[in-house]
Amino acid sequence: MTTRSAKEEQLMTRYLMGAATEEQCVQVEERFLRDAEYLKQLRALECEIIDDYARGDMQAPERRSFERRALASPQGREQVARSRKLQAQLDQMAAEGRAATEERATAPLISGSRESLWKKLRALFFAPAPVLRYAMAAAALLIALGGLWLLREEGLSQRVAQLTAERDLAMQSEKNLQERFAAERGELSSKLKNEQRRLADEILRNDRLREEMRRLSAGPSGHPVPEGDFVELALASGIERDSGEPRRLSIPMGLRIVKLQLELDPSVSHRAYQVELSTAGGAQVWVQEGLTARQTDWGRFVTLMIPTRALQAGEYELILRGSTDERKGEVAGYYYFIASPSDARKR
Amino acid sequence: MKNTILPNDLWQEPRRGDEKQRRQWDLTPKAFDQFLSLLDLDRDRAGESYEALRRNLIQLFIWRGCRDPESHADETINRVIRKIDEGEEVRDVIAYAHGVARRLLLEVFKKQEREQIGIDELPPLVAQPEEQDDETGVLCLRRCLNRLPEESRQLIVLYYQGEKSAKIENRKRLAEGLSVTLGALRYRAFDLRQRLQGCIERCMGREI
Repeated sequence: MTTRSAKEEQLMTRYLMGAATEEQCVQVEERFLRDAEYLKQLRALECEIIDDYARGDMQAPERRSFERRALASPQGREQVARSRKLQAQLDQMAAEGRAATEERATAPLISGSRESLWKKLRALFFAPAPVLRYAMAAAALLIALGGLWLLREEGLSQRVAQLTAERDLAMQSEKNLQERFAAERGELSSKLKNEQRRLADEILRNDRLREEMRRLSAGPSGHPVPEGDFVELALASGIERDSGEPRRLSIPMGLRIVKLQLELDPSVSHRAYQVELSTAGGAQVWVQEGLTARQTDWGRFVTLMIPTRALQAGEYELILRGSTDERKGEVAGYYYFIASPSDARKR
Repeated sequence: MKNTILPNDLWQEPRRGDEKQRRQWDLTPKAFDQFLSLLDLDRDRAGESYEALRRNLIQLFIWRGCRDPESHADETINRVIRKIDEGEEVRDVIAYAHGVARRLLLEVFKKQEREQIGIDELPPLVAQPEEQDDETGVLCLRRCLNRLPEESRQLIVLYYQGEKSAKIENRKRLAEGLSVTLGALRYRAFDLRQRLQGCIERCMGREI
């Protein structure tokens, strides 16, 4: 059986948590690249760490460091997912089979070698052979000594106390489990309420947006009406929910500019934005940087002006990327529309 | 650092010419044979050593937080083979491969730093607990547990029982009861867990 010092285990934990120095990493790696047993110990320890992570028993900084390391690769994510899966199954089974679990928890783990020894002594004591009756006194003395030896050497009483403690522990675990489930139920119902509230807000926002779109699209044909030298279209992120397909942008003859109003998700906030317009086939047709968002009564929008000559008939995808002081190029939304230009346009 | 071979040319920033040369080098059966013979003179054992080295390198790149551990492991081995093919004297292939892997890590980290993908942008876990078929999973777990010997079954159930401090106490008692250290108990539980996991996956494959 392999034994490890606490220091060594600490080193392994630091390595697995992504908190080891380069020198410590080298130390651990040099060993596990050669020693399969050590690698297995590391993986066993990792399993525990993943369990803690899955149960939410990890502090925020540790969790972040662990996630950066463990969730970076598909293989790492799969290892975490597999562990979480098994943990969830064990938890569910524990919840379902409490009685069985308790019974198991109180059952002895090691089969009764002590019992068989006791049986041997008893058999010896009550042996029917007459010759042994003469040795009764000596046997009694032996049994007494044997009993004492058993109690002292094998810690029988300690074992009984331990089993009792294990049973108490199992009962305590059940209680904890019940409390956890109650807490989770409460948490879930609160999440449900929040979701319902969010959905209501979303519906309201959509109504407002539709109203704004109707206003912008008001005209005899239902198509956007040219205002001066441009045509305007408001777009929400993702495919329009009503029709399930992108909005159509009809470009009347003679217009040179298309003005697109890109609605921002309320959770999105960036200092500046950049747009990349591509055809459905992936060919990039327009890139513009240095855009900013403006707040209106209907939400926040980024306004984009594109020359109509850049657009041919067909479907387009527009990627809006946002930048903050720390991060650049974050996707802030995907927008889709179908352009239907008339054949003769101002050049 | 002990046992760490870091050839000087591997530590240098790649020059344009080197990059071109690297691209031009192709892995040949002869070069691969030469590499295998350094792992072990027996062909079968050499094959096993190669597989083990590749697996361990993949694990190394996973634990170092790389996004594409498999291709990094293959790239490491390719570079090692190339160096051997070019006549570099390699006495300890594992230590040499570790050195090459560390060099590659520096390149990977630099690249990852440039790309700066935030944790929120990472793809979701392969299987989210809520997405799985819980009922089948638990059914399979029960079946697989029943296939374990009684002592092992009790051990795995008791090992994963409890929360936080109760769980720790539980494990201490278990280790005492079995007269083993906590580390050894963890090792044993992990072994059982691996067997259980394999059994559950096979069972779920049949059930779903």
